[in-house]
Amino acid sequence: MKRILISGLVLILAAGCGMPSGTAPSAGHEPAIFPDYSGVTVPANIAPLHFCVTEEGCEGKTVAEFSADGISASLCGRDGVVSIGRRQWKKLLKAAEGDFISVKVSCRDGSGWKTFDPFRINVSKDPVDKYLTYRLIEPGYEVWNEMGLYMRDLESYRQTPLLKNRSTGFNCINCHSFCMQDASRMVFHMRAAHGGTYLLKDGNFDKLNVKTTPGMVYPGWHPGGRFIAFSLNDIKQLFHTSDRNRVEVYDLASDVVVYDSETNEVLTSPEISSKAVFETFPAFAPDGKTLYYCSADTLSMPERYDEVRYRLCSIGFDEKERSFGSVDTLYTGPGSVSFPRVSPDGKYLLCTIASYGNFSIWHQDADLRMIDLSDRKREIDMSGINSGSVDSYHSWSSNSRWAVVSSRRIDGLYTRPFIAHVNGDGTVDKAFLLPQKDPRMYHDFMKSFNIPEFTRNRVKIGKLPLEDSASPQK
Amino acid sequence: MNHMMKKILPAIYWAVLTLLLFAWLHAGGRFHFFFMEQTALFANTPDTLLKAFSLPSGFVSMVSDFLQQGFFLPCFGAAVMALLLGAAGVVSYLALRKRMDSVMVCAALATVPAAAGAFILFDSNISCSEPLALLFLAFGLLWYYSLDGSRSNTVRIVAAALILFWLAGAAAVPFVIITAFEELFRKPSNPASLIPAALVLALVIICVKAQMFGEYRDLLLPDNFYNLRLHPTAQVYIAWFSLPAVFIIALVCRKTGFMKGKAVAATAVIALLTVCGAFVLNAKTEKPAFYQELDFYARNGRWEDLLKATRGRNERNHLCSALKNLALAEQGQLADKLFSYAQTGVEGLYLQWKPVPYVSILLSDLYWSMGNITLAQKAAFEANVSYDNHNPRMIQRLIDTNLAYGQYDVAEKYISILEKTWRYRSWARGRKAMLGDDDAVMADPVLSEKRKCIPDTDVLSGMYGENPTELALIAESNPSHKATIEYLGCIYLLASDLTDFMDLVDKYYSTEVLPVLPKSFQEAVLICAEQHPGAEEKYDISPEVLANYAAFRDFYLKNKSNSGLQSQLKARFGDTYWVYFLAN
Repeated sequence: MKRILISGLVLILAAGCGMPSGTAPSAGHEPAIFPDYSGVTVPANIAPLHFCVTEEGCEGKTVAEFSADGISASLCGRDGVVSIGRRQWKKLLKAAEGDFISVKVSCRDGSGWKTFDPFRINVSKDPVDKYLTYRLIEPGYEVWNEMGLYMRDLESYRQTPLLKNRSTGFNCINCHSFCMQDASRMVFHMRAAHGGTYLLKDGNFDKLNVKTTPGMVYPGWHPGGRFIAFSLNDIKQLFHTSDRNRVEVYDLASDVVVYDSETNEVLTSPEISSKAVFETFPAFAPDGKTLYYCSADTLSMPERYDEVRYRLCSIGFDEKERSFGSVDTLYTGPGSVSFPRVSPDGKYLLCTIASYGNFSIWHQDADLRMIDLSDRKREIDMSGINSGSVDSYHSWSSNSRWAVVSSRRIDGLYTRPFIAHVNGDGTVDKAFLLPQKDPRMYHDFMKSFNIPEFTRNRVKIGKLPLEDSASPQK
Repeated sequence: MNHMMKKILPAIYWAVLTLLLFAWLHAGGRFHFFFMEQTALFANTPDTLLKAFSLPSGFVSMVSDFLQQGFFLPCFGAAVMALLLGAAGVVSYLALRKRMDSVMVCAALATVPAAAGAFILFDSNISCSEPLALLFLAFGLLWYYSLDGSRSNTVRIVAAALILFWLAGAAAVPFVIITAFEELFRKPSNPASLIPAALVLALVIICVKAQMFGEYRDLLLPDNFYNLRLHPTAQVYIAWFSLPAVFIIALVCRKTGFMKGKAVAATAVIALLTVCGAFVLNAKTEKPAFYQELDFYARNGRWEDLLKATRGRNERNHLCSALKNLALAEQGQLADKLFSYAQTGVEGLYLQWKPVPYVSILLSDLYWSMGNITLAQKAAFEANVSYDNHNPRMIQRLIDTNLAYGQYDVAEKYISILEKTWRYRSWARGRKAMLGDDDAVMADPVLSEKRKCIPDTDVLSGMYGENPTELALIAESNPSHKATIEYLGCIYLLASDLTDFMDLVDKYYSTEVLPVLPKSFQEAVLICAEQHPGAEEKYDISPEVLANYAAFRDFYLKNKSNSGLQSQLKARFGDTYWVYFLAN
């Protein structure tokens, strides 16, 4: 009886959109939609997945019927955009937890109404961390204008500015990082005006008073929060004349150090600071006993830029003794490794593989690779998260069940955050694009979502210890 | 003055003043307003309206962008600016008249903000936002002075202040200050008079704390109407404060009885001095105005006009020289006529990179002309970023470079942005038809040539030094792209690097890349032939060049001990490479 009533209600609503009652002819395939949410897996606490129907002729009237376990909602699309209310969406998610939501789209083109095959949105029981922090910046070369750090509430569309460079003399803000997805322990850098590394400790930001040559760049937190590993990179960039990769970013030199926030000292070892080797992208294991990083034999740069292959290595770390152990090489190719990130449960390591070099965000062939730390030789299918374009900077959710990746798959240039569900065996389900109230914003928006990082709690950036005044550029 | 005259004379006065402003702005700022059109992009979508109301002062920004999109029309920019300032003057006058009897005093006082506005209108870092915000402020004050002065107006002032704050941002600040003064003068013991000011201050603090604005000055002062990366000039503040200042002066005069008889003369002098000051200070803006003129010609492919405009002006300026040489290259005359114009060295062919928007724009044009699509794209991207992604010309360049590369997805993104504008919609739709269609790109005379310029062999731009290596690769890739090889040869000539020049000529002469030697190349070959006799026989040197060189050589040998030789050579042979080579 309940189902009949619901079906009746759906028909009434559909008729309200101008769709005649009865069955419209079937198109015989799923609708083309943007973002592609067909077959994705989402957490039960995600904001509504609005989408556009991009089928030829479907720019006008559209009807979408969402249904899950006896609950249905029928919606009229406007200008081809299907939006669902937050309350209805929550009910659907709750009903579909561990199962799926079916979405049937009908649209009216020149020849009348037609109905597409329904597609599924799988709903996982694993929740995702509530917040995602990223930097918004143009995917540029040497010039930037406005940029900033922003926090997105994944349960809604609310995006909160954390720190915009309008407030800091239009400088460069980069490499924000959190300790174990905890927003109360954060580090980031600023370049140009107010240049330095800023560390959030006990609710206040300190500007680190430590000098290294080259400067500290990519951070990796020790889970205890006392130590932060940094790579010291002498970074340069050049531009390809006829390659699908536009920009080539490379290091002339790089080492890895560990910063002790209690003593304000920098620790290192010849094993991770060798002139004969480029060491970069440090990342601690969640037990704090192992420091992962990437290393490559030093080559003459930039002449041999495309011959550099980074291996995935690890070195033991004893936090009590503040000492390093021996080096282990986990992965030597094929390809070149960057951005190793260990899942908080310590089972998997997610990294980027490109054909060469380390700055994979500019390498169209960059893909993610999952390494099972208990069985390194096991091949794990990553087709759910990888695409034909750049898939690079990634981070884990605190429950190790979600990974976010920066991907250029939409237009080849502007990075967008895709979130993928990671199953217990390390395989990933089809990733979904971060939902927006108006999904068309991704076509108009002229900034990249850079360094997406999950946090369990709300990020708060209070007063920064800005000493020198930022003079305007003339 | 009878009642009729009191109405007619001010109307005539403001009409004449507005017309004078228009005439002055049009005469001095023709190219400035064309340039302003390039700094804003108005998307004709409902989203634009929504965004306009999402931030304080978003509305004036939107209206400003809306108006600026029409500035490509001759006279339109000057007319809009003159009308905005004239309207601000008229509305201020009407507001002052609500409390003052003297038509002349009110007219003279209200002239001050209108005239002071002229201080800022040739500043390329300012949009229409500031005059618009001044107009909103004037309307706010007119509304306030129309209220019944015998009762408390706090609630209504609060409402007006909030509306003003949301529509025109910083305009609410002088509004609440003036109204607070008025209310306190009216009823000194009423603390409620300060509520609107306190509320606006609280909103300013909230907006800055919420990171909607970077600094307090963005909402307390007119900084948000200026290029956000720069601090406004003194003129911007003068223009901004002149309007509230006249109302404060009027208020003090009214309440204290000060300056009754002398008020007309004093205020008229102030207004006059302001106008004169505007003229004097504006004279200093000649340099950007000249660049804006050249940029206009370059943007519209008016190369002859560009060459005419530069003749005899700013001859030692690299930027001017680079534009001149760009005009020659685009006309296929770079290597033939290079020395018909004063040259400033290699930097006069292509400028050194600087993180400055206008340099990036020029570099994008230069690289595009040379056929270096990689660097044309890089410079266009950086220029567009510098203009907050609002430079239509650079977006067009990004579309073209991406079409040339066959990167259709990102080209589509930029096309969709221009499709939402009125002015560039049809151009964008023309380009849209090429998406994913290599044949359509190759059928386009410009894009096909540029696509052919993309070298088959990838190199990292700049890895092997500067431009020359890349230009050689481009020239080999597209021998029919004459500008590439001409730029390359001219770089060697201006650097007086005849060894590399001769290597270039030896390698490419009589090939598709360099079937004949242009005039300046022939002249350079003759210099090399001095050390390697017979070298000229390998090349087809024209009889005119040979005869001219014989005359030059003869003259030089006869007069080489003459102290005025350089100037004599310049007078007789100034359009040849020989004179440049001797001087450098």
